[in-house]
Amino acid sequence: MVRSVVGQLAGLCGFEEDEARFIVVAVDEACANIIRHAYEGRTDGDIRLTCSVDNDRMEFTLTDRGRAPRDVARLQPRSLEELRPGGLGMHLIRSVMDEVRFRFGEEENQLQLTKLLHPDRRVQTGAIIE
Amino acid sequence: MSIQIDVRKQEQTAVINVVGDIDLYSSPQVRQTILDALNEKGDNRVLVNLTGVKYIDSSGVASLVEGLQLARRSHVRFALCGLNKAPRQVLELTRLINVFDIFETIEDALKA
Repeated sequence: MVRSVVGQLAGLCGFEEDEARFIVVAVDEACANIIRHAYEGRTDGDIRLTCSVDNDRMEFTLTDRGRAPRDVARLQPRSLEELRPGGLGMHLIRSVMDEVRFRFGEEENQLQLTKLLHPDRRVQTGAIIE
Repeated sequence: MSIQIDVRKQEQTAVINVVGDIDLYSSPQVRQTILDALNEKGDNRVLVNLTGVKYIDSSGVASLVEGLQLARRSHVRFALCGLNKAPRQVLELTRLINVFDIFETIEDALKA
């Protein structure tokens, strides 16, 4: 469901089909990372996804109540020179999004993904979809 | 979306047909099928047919990479075919598009 909604929102914000597809991939990878790491594979943990559009940007905020990472260095994308299976998700997220921000707290963690809108498709009023 | 996987033997090749999205939930099944096919004696090639796949995430790509690594160690040929636009773009984004042998169709792969 997340993939379908994010794809439609990206389309509404004027992103072409390919760009919208990449945005879907990035948000989906972010959800998968939360399930895999914050909830340690559990699929019953809550993830709140908020999307806001304001002036020049589309922002996705993912909030979870799982475990904060012990090693923050793992949030950096790895080098792709080495052929190995893991660690591609963060690379995909950072390749697609213009800004990626983490905030870890006692009770919840937040990941904010920002995609800048095309200059000719900027919006005048803010909209928030949760 | 559920995933359907079947394996058919054709000209000493195990053809793995995948239909559906390959994501966090379905990739373990895809991974296991690929590894089982590579571990089976008698085939000298494993071909993953992705014609029916419209979406693949990093866990799906990781399964393909793992298959490629095992194939190299086992001296078995490993290839992909029928890549739709979205999976192709994900392989490009992860800079893995040139790492795999990729064919348009099963027939092309079997002829190679």
